[in-house]
Amino acid sequence: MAIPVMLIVATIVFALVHLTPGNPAALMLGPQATPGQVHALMAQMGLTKPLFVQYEDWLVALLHGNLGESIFLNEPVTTAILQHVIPTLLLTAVAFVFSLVIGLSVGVMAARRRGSRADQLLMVAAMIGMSLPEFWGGLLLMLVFAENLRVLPAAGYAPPSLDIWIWLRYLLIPGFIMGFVQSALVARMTRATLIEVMGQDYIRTARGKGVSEGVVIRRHAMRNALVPIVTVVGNLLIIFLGGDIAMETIFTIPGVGYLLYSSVLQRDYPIIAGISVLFGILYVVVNVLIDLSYLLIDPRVRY
Amino acid sequence: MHNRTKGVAAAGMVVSMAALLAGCGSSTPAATAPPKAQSVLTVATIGDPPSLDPQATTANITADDMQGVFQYLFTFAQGYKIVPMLASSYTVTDGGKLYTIQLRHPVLFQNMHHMTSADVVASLNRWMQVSPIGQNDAKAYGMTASADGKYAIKIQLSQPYAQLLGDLAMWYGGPAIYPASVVKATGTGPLKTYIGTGPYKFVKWIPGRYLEVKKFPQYSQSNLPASWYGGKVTGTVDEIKYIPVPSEPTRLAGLISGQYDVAESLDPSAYQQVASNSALKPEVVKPFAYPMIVFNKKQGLMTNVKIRQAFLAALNMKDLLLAGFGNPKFFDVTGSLYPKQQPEWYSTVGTSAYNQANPTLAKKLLAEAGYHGQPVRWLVSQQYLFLYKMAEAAVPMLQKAGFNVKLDVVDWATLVQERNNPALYDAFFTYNAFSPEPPVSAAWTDPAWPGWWTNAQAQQLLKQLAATTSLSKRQAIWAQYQKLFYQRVPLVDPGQFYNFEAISTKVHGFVPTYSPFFYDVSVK
Repeated sequence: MAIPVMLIVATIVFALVHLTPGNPAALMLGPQATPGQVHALMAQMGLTKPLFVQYEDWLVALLHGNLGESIFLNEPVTTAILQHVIPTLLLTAVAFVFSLVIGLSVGVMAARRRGSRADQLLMVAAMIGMSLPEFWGGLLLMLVFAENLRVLPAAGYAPPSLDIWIWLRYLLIPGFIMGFVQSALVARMTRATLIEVMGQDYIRTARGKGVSEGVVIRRHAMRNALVPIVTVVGNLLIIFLGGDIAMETIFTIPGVGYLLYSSVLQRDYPIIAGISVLFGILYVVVNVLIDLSYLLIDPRVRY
Repeated sequence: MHNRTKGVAAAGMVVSMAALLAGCGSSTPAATAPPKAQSVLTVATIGDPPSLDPQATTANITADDMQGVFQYLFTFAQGYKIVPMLASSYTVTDGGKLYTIQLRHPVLFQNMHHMTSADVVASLNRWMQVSPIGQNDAKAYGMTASADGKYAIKIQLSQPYAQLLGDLAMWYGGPAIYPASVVKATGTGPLKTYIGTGPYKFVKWIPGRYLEVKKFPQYSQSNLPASWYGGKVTGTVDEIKYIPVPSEPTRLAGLISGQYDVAESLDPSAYQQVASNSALKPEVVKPFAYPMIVFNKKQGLMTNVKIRQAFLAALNMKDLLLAGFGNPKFFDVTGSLYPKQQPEWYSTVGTSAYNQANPTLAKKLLAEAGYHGQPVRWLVSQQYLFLYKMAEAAVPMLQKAGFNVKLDVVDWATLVQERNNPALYDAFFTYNAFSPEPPVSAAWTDPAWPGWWTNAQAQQLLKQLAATTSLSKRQAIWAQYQKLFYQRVPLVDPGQFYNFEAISTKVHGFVPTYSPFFYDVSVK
């Protein structure tokens, strides 16, 4: 089922990319080029062939695992994506940690204090978090921590092999904002699911046996609440791994999001199509992993 | 799952994460720290260049980023005067059709090979195939290049072309000189080896992270006095890093926080913030560029000159420029097609039709043209926000004059494509860099360029301009051209605008010019 889905995704992506106005030849030659010069370069690039022929060539190559060559980077699409995927992975890791730590803590606190003023305040904070535009929050933190306090850099990226602390300092602001915004969803799902689980008989039994509240929550309630939480968290992973275009562009992190943004502006068709196809594959893979994780979490689940 | 298995799984995850972190450097580019340089200049630019080959693209950022690496036969001294650079001297004979150019020698390429006429001829021949400007010179003027001994070349033209030296000096789509071996290996394909004769040599380009150039210790200096891009320029900082920072607030924040030494193309609204910061210095680059509302003269409403004249008559140029740039420091309301900073070409001849802000006259012209409220489709992009703001400000002015304006807002790549189709628009908004000599913009010179100005008299004047080397005669021709421009209104040029850059006060010796250069600059 995954393969037909992927083929459909690939076809739609190809069509969208090539039918969108704009072409890479004009952008490559610059503003002084005449239409004739642009057309000549397009012919050189193979872009004047009938669309169906271009699609056929691309699909055959795709089926052989070849995503083509980037028009502007002059290297295989796979190489370009691999070079950009590590910063995205690392930014994802930082954002993921923030979203889990904040989201789970807030969710558990709110569930334990259900109906109280604290619960209401925490959920309002979660709503604000969900509504916060990431780019605005990011620029605000940049103003405070980079411009005014000068404790963090404004933008950029360094690999962790250079210096782990320099690496972390570059990713702290964008990772925090990404994680904070998405933690709201984790918090709300955690609260809702925990409240439902905490009303179960076995929780009442555990409390009746004198088990401490912390152990009740950690060992009994959370374990049973995990399935929907893992679903939300898994989808978060997909969102993060797809590359956060806004954050990567504002903070100049050379990840997949930044690559996609610059490729769309330049109409680097092979890169746009390649990232879209890989994102489709990623979506399928992560969802399979989420489904498999249910087996580990809940022994009652059987496929 | 058994507890022991869980523990092993958890340990495995921790080990995998550690391996990922440790291995991340090796699978990312630039895994090793660069060797410590004595002085490093960090420049925040507007983004990644489309390529590093200035011959193959007229995109400014390519030549800007490689300014220290590549050189040209001629270049621009202070005031944009054209001076020899890799040339030492030249003669023009055969009625302006034959240029014999002596080459400066010895000149070393960064691969330690000596430059000879073979390298220059190979570079020029490639340029005439890949550059929009080179292709035009080859086609319109029959340009050919050949060696004349080891250290001289001949450029033969089919007709005189007074702007040839300007084309040979121009950075954007200009004939950067490469080794013949590189040209042979590359052909007309994308350049993959970046070897020039400049005081900096290319080290590394990681798109999205930085472009790094380092001082070339064996750089062959000219003996002429240093003046802007020409003469005895020296690469004084050891290393220059161009960091692509597409977000303008981030460029500013990075400059303020000390992360960058130079921030290019800032919003004029940040001028006061920079000026009041004692660690920074604002720089206004004059001249810089001019907006152009280009009319579709091939098809549709704007084939009618009275409608174009009405469009011009309706506009208040000061208000337009204020809408676009905010701060009067960054624009000049002038009808001269050349800015005041270029006094040789600055002229007010024929400019009475500029900045009329006269809706009554515009209505009269529209009535004479038989205009009945048909929509005027104006292509504009928000990618250059100043153009969009100007278009928004223009709409009520035009409506007051009786125009029915429909702004078609698209992204830049779409605009660049759609402007080639005369069925899709009546006007499109773009801008053009200033040129050292008139006119280098295809919008004015090339009937095949979108807008399609095929006016026979204009073409004749341009031919005369190209054929005349006498400055006073060229100025007289240019004045006639400007007069015709305002009579026929092929496009609207609202005025001149300037660029805003800012530098750290640690940087000394920086001269703000159109294409930033960092010769004779120090970082303390």
